[in-house]
Amino acid sequence: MPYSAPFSEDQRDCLQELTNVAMGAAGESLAAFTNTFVTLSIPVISAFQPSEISVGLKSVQTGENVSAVAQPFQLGDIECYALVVITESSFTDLAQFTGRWVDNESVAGELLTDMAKTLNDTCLNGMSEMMDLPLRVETPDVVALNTPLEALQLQDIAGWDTAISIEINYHLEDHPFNCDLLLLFNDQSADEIRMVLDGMIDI
Amino acid sequence: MAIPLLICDDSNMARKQVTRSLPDGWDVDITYATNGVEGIEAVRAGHAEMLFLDLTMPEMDGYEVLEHIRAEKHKSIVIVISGDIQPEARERVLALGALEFIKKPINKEKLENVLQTYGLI
Repeated sequence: MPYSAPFSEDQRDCLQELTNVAMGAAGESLAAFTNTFVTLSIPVISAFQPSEISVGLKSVQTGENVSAVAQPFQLGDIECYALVVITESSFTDLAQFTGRWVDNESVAGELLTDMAKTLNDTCLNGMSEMMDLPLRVETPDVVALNTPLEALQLQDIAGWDTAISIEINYHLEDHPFNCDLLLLFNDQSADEIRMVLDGMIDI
Repeated sequence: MAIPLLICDDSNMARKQVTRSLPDGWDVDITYATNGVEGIEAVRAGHAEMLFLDLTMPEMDGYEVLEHIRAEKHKSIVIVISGDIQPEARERVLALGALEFIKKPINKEKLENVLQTYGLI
């Protein structure tokens, strides 16, 4: 059964635009974190089975292994996940830009978590401000280190009927660095998001 | 006479936000474009004495639109309105000939300030 994101054209447009503004702010944070210029692309909204997260991660389907950090967050009462996924070759870039020596998994996880927090904090605060909903973020967790993309699983969302996602891709100019920030929510959260979007569209 | 104003943004909501932020009573004749290709066509057709331009768009992005405007020597006054708030993005668009850069989300006050600063209203 094909999955389709449960938004009208106006809702999709509104969600995409406010994500676009939030990701722009997060892009600036990433640029500051890495001392480079960040290339932004248009956010993509998808829906899929929770066991097939890779479907929502089109921009990092390069055949390379990936590493990922998941951070649960709430916008008002809306439960969501922010999943930051980077390709393996991005690690070399990241280590180099930040001047860190990555020689074991714990340092790798720390670097990944720091980068994810940098992106998530700015992006999610931006969304919270524009949607006029209070933001609460939980602790980020490394959920994959050097794993095939297809094997990437998020236990917390395994029970969902459908996963709905907004894929936000970040490239660094002139570098292989390639990172997806995937915002994930379920059908119930989508209902609440629709109500918020409708309120924004009517203004 | 009304000023031909082109608003070029792929988001319908963003186009509406820009339109709502225009100064009251400003005599403009608005054309809308939903990507850079439509945008540069509207510029060529003379619909853009002023252009409010987004950067991240499908088909052709705002940087390319600016490059075309410069290469084809159009006289449009371009104000970039974008969510890409990296200082370098601003520097790049100004180097490509844009007059000013406004950070999204746009509002009446931000737009009027810029228009007043440059004596455009």
